[in-house]
Amino acid sequence: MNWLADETRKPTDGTTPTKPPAAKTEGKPEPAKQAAPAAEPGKPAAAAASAGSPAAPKPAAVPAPPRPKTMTDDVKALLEKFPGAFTQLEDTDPKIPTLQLTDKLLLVPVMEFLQAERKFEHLALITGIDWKTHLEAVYNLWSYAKNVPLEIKVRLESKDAKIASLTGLWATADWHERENYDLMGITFEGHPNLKRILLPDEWRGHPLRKDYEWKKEQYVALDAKTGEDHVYAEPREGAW
Amino acid sequence: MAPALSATPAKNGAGKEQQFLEINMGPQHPSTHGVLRLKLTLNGEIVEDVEPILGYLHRSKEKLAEFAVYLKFAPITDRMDYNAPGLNEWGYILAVEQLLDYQVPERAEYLRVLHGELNRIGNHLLWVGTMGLDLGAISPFWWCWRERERVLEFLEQLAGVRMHTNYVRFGGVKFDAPPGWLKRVQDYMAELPLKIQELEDLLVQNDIVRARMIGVGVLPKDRAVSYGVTGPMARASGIGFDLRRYQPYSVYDQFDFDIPIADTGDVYARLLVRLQELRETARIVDQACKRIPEGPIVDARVEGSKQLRVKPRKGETYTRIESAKGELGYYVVSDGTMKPYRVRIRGPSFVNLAPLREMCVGSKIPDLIATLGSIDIVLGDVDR
Repeated sequence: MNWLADETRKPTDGTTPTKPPAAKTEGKPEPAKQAAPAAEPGKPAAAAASAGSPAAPKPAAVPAPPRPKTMTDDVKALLEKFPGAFTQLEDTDPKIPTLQLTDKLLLVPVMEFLQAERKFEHLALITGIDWKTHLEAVYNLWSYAKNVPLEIKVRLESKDAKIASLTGLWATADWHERENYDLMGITFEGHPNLKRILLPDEWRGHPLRKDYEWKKEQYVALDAKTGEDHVYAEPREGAW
Repeated sequence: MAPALSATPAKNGAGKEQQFLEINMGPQHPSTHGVLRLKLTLNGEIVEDVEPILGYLHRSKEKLAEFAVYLKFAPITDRMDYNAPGLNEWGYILAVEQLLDYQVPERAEYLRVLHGELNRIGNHLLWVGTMGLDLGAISPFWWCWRERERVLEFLEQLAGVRMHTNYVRFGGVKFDAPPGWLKRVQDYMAELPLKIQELEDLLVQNDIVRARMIGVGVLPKDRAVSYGVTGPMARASGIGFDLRRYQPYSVYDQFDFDIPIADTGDVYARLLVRLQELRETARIVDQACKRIPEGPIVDARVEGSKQLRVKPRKGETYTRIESAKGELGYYVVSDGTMKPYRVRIRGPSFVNLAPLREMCVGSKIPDLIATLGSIDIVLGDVDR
């Protein structure tokens, strides 16, 4: 298990053994000074202030600068078309305008509008994130016509994670949604064939959930007659 | 092929009873390029339905990412698309770098481009070879293998390993180019177009290749867009999009290269696009060898073991690169600790495989094999 990270372990090469782990520097009361070495040229004042002090290489602990909320034509159009349905969040890096859809029932009309009228033809990725208190479905879009990205986030309940399927708009949503159902346990309502895609059909649990018991082993065996996989909780002959 | 699963009686148009045969192609079948299982429903030689069954090479990479510090996931990404491993790790490192504030020195950017593009050449050569093999032509396979061996030698000289190079680091790269390496690569890039011409002579005007490829596995442009298809396969369907040109990362805005496009969307178009892309890639490598500046190869703030203690700021990123097979994206969520909170990977092979059913239904089994080969899937990238 040595691939598991040990955050407290000292560096192995012995060149910088006495340096404290980066995690501890976060508690210092001067976050502005830490920001200085990493500051962009857009902040001349901060850079000048730190010029006197030696540029001590801080290996880690990059404090979060406030990220912008880029306002694009598409964001404006969305806010106008669906007033009150969105909260604009800080940009996802690198500078992807990000909107949170507060009413998940509006997902299909919003996506239809984006695809047909704002020319977001490419659904690049659907991501499920487990934030422990709730889940989040993230849709990354790209417009070939305008060469701009857009990201839509939808908050879902952990216990009852359901959202409308986009298979009617994009054929690629089919497999993306099946993968998210399989690994994250989000149910996409209206999907024509919502079943597991990577794991066997009988698998218990959704592995990318944070509360998934990953130490509990499950054994898969192939039924030679039907070609289907079966999953067992106990080891048995022919299962691994 | 495995024995028949069942024979389902069905009625054809004439009211005569007809037998559909359900058969498994794979997971152990040479033309599926790995452990892909296709559940075929056959009407004689005609494919009535295809259902790809995935997951035989699922190694839960997205879950593995959550257990280890950021750097330790980079070599794991190498094992996804193992035909062009260097591009996987580059994409991942680039994604995490969005949440860090390190400056990548320019020499390192050029070395990354060289490393990535050599991987792309290796991938495309492998594809041309195995595509010929799928059609029963064995000579292009040996010729491609000979050339790919040269490329792998260059990678070995650069990174010490032939395939899973684990070369890209946060804020730079691991090793500088050894003495004389750039010259050798540049010399080879002068030679490569001749070799590609040989391959083209062997394949493009070949009657059998044309008969097997033209009009087979057609994916029209609107369906390609709907299926989210990217990379050479999308360019063969008329989508003239390349991330290196339209959302340039690294130093790609400094290179002069063309984006090969075809509009027929069949297997033959995919062959032409990839052969032309080999030439364009050789041009990029040649330019990179000429222009590469002197200087450091990694940001001084993350040298050596500090790589292991990298700690990105809180936030999310969706970063994508043009891998050899299409858009390779990483959605990385950082909660401000030393391990990723969540990594979601968009494998281009996974997305490009989805339209297989639409391309194959109604065609014959040999056409199915040609179409499947032309997608350029790697099961490590499909199942992740």
